[in-house]
Amino acid sequence: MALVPVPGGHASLATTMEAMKIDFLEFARGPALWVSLAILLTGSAWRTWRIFRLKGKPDFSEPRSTRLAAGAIGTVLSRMIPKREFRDSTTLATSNAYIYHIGLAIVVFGYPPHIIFIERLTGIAWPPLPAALVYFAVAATFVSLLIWLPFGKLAHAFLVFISRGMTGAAFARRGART
Amino acid sequence: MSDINELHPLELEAPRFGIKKPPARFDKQGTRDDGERVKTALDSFVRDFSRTTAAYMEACVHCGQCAEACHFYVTTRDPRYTPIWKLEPFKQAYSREAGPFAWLFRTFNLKPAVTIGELEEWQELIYDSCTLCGRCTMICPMGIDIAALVGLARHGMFQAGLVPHELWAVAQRAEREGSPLGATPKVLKERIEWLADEHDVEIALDQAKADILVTLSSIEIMKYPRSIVAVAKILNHMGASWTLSSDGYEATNFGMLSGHTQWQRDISVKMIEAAIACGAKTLILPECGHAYGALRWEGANVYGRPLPFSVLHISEFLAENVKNGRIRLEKVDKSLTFHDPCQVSRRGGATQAPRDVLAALGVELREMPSTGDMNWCCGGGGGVVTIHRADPLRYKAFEIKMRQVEDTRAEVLATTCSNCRQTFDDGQAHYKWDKRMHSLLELVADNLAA
Repeated sequence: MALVPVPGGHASLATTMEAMKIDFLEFARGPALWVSLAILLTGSAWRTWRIFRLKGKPDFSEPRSTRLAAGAIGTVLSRMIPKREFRDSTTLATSNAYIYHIGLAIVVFGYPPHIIFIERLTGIAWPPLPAALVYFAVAATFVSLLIWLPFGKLAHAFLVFISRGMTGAAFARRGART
Repeated sequence: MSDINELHPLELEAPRFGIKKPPARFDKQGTRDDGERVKTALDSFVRDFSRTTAAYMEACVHCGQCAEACHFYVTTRDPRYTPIWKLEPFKQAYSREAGPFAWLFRTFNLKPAVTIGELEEWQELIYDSCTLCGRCTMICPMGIDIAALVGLARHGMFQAGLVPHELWAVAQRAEREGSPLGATPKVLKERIEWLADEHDVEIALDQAKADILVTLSSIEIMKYPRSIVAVAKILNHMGASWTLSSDGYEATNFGMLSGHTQWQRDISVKMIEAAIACGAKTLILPECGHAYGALRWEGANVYGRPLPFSVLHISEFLAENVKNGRIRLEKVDKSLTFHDPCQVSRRGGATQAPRDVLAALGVELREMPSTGDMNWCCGGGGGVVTIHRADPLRYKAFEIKMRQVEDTRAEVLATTCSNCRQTFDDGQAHYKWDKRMHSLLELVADNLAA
């Protein structure tokens, strides 16, 4: 980010910082946002198109059922909950993902400033969720993250210092490089 | 310790200490150079990338949940047996050759190119450690049909001459002689004459016209010939118009299991043409899991058009006819547990049929936990039971099945697949287990009402 020249005099540090902030905000709200949205849409369309442009294979076998759309939608829905036989290995990861995704959805799509932001871009708006619910979702999402942190990979937040430090100390003792 | 010493004896006389090289972990067919093998495999992989394959390749989120569904992973805890990992070379080929960002993957080497060493190493993962049972498909949160992908990856492996020797040999023999186990038309004819005489039953062979064409598994012909007697007894009991045909009797499809698409087609077309020749309205598939997948679900596709007859697994045929009263049964006053063949239940959709037959037999059915289309595979499907070097792994996987069966405390153990049956027989001998696998078909034949 280039320094913004202040006309008619030398810039104080505070006013320069202020100008940079506005400049950066305009960049983030303007070109950066549009470019990233364009990449999001064209990238997703390209990836989807590259799947569907490939040949499908005709199936001549005698169908047991012709309700194929129901089968497709049925599996999309039924896979939202792991089968009973797999619960032992999937319950924890699945419930975590549920709390996180639902919480995120409520915060992203239910919080008034986000809706205003989306309206400015697309013209589409909807009534916000009650503030209490949004705050609850934030709490649930973050609380679930906090509760999960010591047990999963998020524990790298403190483990990283311990493991790096131990290797560093052990190698330092020998005069070896890490 | 003594086990380890015997398996890998120290060579103290050698110039440097070492252990004997473990037995080769891969087989090769033909004399092509390695570069050509890799190219052939890649070309074949790319040919198999259809709309569905591409969707699956794109969708994997690497969550690793499929591991917990696989009997080979669960009994060894070896991460190499994570189902989706078995497809790594296939995925590499997709990302670099066919995916939406192929040029990026190649330019920045985001996925390394497939090498001969990798294909050799993956032979075990694509063949020895996958029975194509598809339990992983049921757990995948993205809904990827992993088993179908392993089946496709085998095409390229066969083209490159990288198939486990025994599986290659039986597939080759099936193509040459018409049967993977030497059950040639001549052997079949002799067996039928002997069985008809021994069991005093009429077995129809090569009738010019018949409503039903019966097909067999080589395993039945060579190992469980009473199955042939059973099917004959039942069809005669019904007064059905039926026949076996020397031109198309072999229903096992080692072309499919080994990955040779043309051989797969040859085997299926023989049965299809035999059924058309005798004007059959129904073709009955034997107690064999993969035979059902090969003809019922893939037969018309390799033939290129719909089949002019219906294809039924023997358990479906039995269920249909106990329900309409053409087969009448005596009650069997015993408890029984049923092992589902994966290709009939989970992959074939005929989970209910054998249960309808068992209900008609009046047995007390004691289901194992995780049963029906969520069953655990016996470990011998997908051609794995033919691969000798896979025996230790297969026996590990079989432990799940033994435990499940034991827990039901049922008096009788039955299935409707002769390949599962021979896997159970082999496991029984290995573990000196006191449970013997029975055939649903034979159970029905033994209890026909007078």
